[in-house]
Amino acid sequence: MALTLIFTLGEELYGLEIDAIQEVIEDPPLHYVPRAEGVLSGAINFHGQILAVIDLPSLLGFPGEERDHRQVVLTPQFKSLVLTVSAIQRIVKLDLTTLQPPPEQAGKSAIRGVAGLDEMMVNLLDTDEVINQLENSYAE
Amino acid sequence: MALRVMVVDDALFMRSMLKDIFVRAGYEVVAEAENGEIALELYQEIKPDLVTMDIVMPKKSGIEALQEIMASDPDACVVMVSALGQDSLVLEAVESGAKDFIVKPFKENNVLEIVRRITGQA
Amino acid sequence: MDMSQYRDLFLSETREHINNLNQLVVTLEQEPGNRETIDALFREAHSIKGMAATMGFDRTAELSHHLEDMLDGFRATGEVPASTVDYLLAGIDLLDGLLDDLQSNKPERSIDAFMVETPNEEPAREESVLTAEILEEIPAEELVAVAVEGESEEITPADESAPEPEVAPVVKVETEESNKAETKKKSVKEPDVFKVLVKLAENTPAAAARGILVLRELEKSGELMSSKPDMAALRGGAPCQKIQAWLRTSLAKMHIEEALLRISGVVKVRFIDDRRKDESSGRDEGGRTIRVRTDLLDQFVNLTGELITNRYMLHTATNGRDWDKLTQTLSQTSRLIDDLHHQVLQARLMPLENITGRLPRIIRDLSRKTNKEVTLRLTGAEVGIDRVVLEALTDPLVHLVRNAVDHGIEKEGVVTLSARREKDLVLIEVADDGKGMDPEQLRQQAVDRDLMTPSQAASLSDRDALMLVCRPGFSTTEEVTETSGRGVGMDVVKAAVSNLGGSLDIISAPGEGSRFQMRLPLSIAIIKILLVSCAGHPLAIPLTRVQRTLDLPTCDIQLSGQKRVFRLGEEVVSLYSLAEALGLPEVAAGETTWVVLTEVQGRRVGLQVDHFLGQREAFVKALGFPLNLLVGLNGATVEGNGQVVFIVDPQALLENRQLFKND
Repeated sequence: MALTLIFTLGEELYGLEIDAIQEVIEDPPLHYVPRAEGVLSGAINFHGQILAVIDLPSLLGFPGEERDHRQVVLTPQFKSLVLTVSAIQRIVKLDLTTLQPPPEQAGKSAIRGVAGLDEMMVNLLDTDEVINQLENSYAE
Repeated sequence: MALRVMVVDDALFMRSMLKDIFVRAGYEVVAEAENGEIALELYQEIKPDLVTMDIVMPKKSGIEALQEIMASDPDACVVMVSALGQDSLVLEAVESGAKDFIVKPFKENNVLEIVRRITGQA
Repeated sequence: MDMSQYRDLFLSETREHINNLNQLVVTLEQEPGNRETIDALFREAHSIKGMAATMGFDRTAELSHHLEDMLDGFRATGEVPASTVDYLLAGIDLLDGLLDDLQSNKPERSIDAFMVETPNEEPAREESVLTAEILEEIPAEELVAVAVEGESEEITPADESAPEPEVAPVVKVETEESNKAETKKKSVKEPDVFKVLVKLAENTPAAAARGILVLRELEKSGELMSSKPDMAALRGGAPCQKIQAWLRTSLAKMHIEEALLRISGVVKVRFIDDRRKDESSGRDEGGRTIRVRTDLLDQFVNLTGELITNRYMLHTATNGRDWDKLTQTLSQTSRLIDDLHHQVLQARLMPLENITGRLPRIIRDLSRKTNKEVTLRLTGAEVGIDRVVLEALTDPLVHLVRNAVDHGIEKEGVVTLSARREKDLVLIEVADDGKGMDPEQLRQQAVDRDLMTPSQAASLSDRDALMLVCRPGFSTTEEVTETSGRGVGMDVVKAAVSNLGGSLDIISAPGEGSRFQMRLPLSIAIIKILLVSCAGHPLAIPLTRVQRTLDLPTCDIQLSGQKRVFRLGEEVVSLYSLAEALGLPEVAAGETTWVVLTEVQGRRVGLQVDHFLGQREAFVKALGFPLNLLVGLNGATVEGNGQVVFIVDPQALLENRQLFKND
């Protein structure tokens, strides 16, 4: 069983293992990044490190304006990216050993697998894929 | 020269089946063993090119036998044969030096593909 | 005993020894009978041998042993035959190559071809020139590959009494069968770093064990740098449907793919090239080491101690609300911090001679090749420069020196490399006493190449005309020589200097030689910046990029060809808007327009900002992913109030806008 942070992107339910998270921060001052556009909504000063804030719903193409005021700082393994999501819900224990494969991945999704939570399905966020897609969007 | 194979399994059925597969592929089955202890003795004596090793066997388990074979001959080529749902045992075997593994029930082709890959034979 | 902890030390020390070897051999060539030089050479080879053997690097040890033996022979005779110099140098190059292998965790390359070869006894002049050329152009590993190609030639074992009149196989094969050499080159290509994605079939039984087999196969193909899931996770039975791995390998992707697909259960293999390999490969990798004198470390300890005392004094003063005491202690603290800052920077400084070591060798090879007599003079090699700056300077310096030999000096002359401190900058100058450059000729050439109109060219100052050679693709020699078409590399030199926050100047006139001056910051971790505001955002521009600031009456700005320009003395300067370059809304200028005068592609331009917020020293923070992918951002700094301010490079910003595309 792994502790997992549950949040939404648009209407969908997502999960991210606590192990991949460095900290969840509340409303940090967002600083202007020259030339940043779209998914890069700014930078924060996180204990002296300058980190990029990524708007996950826009990166993965989710509609809707809802954004949580809290942000998720990933571990250095995932480049200490700071993710904004639609809404952060709670932390649960999920059995990740019986992950179902995600539906045939179309377009921009970043799902590592699907786990059951009560009557709901939780999509586990594929952080590597998030980094991949960011790389691709800045490739040119 | 034909590949010299030793088949280790406590079930005669499995041994026969694997033996037939190997013989049809043109390999020479030089030894059969029904438990880990015998397997170990035969291995030292015959030094086959390839061993297929069942995991759950009386006297000495496949994993113990594997570990002892690997200790005496680090280049040994051992393929584990496991049943579905023995993931942790398979993991242990692979970590102990098994070159690959076959999961029962298997298909003839499946077995041969794995053997060819690890022995480097076409 | 675990030797890996000594590896970095071994590598850096051996590089030093190799540098020394190169210099000594060149010295020796001038005085073949110098006993001390021969002894010194022997000792260098001996040291490398001892260290390599201890580390268990067999080929490096064997090769240095071989060189040591040979040098020992020369110690006995008291002389090094001129004909063996090239052989010695080739051996040193091969040693250098072996170190490259060790540094990148590859197996040591083969040294067999070199070991069976014999030094030429009496090479004809022309052939020896050829040898020098090949040594210059081809890395040692390819030399080896080519030499193996030539093994069908009869190989004479080393034997002093049997002179070998033939040219060494290396040379012969290279000239006659360059096609083959070409093929060989490809097969020994530099390792690539890429990401491999391996997908397993759905519901693969014992997927984690399968994953381990995949990782093992990858380990066989090269250096497995990291993976997800990694070995430890798989051992723990982690779910594993997809494996991502970073691999460094010289094998073709096709072979790797083939091997992976043969693993039962693997259904898909995909490769992604690594954009970041520049950061993660080669000599720049991993924890860098630097030697720090112990007395400097002692000073750190002392200063830290004083700061701790100071902290207590601050506490006491605050608790007692003793404002005088507080003010006094604060000023003491700030002095201590300045001191510490200074000392820390000192620790990062390395003398320039760390990178000038290979220049004598380069000059020697080049002179032989071009049949010119060139002397190299070095002054100020002891001047300390931040190690980051120093590393980035290595190639530009080589390039400038080559240019000086190739284009500056005609038959014989002197190339002078000098360095000196100028306040908080270091001036490094490469000068030659050759034919000099003609601004008029350069103007003409710019027009011929359609880089500008005749009237634009005529309006260039001499200084700016000389800077034309830094434009990409600009060349001043009619026939581009093979070592360095001037202009081919000058843009690279200019860019390297700019990236370090430095500036490049060229001083030259026909018949008066040329001087290339690089002014570089002592340290790049702390730089001086100009703070400006732009559409309400604070931004920083490195002061090294600012020629001056102007507050221009807005009415002085005119339009010329739909572009905004203003007059600065005799000069007409184009005006661009920083807001526009950043895609920010423009703020209409009032009566005064605030302008930063900077330089883009050798041309002076004005950059309009909303306001100047002042100058200061800033500690530059490096940017992480994906901020590091944004063009025109050099780093960021944090203000006292926590505000993050990005440091922009006006040149990169404007170039990226392609504002210069059509003029």
